[in-house]
Amino acid sequence: MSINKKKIDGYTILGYLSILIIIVCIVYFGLRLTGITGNAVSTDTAVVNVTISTTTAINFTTDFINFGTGSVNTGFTSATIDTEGTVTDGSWTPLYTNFTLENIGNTNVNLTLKVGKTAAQFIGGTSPAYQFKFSNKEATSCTNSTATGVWAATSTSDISLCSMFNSADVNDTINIGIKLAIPSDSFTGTQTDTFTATATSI
Amino acid sequence: MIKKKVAITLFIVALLLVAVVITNCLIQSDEKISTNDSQDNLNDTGNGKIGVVILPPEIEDKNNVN
Repeated sequence: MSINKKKIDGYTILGYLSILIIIVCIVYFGLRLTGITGNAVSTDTAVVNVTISTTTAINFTTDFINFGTGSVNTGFTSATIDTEGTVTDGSWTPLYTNFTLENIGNTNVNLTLKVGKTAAQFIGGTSPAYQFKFSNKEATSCTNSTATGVWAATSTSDISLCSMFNSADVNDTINIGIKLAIPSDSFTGTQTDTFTATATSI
Repeated sequence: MIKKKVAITLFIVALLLVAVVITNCLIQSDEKISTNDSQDNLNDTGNGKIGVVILPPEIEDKNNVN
């Protein structure tokens, strides 16, 4: 008889405890619904969600180098012209301009360079030369793979120019100069070629 | 005195309500700042053009004479 009474007391306790919990829960939801927290200071949180896409983009801000019209001076086997105003043994007008290449994306890139034609295909004749030279227009724009300030032969295959071409606005621009050695027996007429720079996100 | 069935029913209801309250609290506190870094463009190319007009030496000589 006493065992049976203990069981009943246990269920009674459980019942009252459950009622207490239910009341607490109802009070909780009641406070939430009415906005009453009982606190002097109320805090809340908000969510800031931002999506930043990586954009790899480069742009030739100066994209055309036109040496104009000229010829190899009579009696010379070749003329040399470049974008630093050099005209040797030729009649071209000195040119002072460069390709200007800017990283306009928001990520550092690896930069390679190639041309569409070899010197023989572009200029023709005996021992033509087709070279480029690059330098940082804005300091530390390019962690160079190729030496800066040195004339180097162009290639129709990709040449690694910058292992890291910076995207920071104040350090994201380089200059690329061109030098041509035009033999006296070169092609004549208008000759054109295309420089292609390729940026790959790193 | 509370009967056995009533006590169990009340207990189950209490458990359900507690579960709802806990879920509600977790939803309130589990707001995170999420960032997505999607890779849209990985490559880009730019082109520059070079042009030169080459006259034969003899034509230039004639021009100089004239």
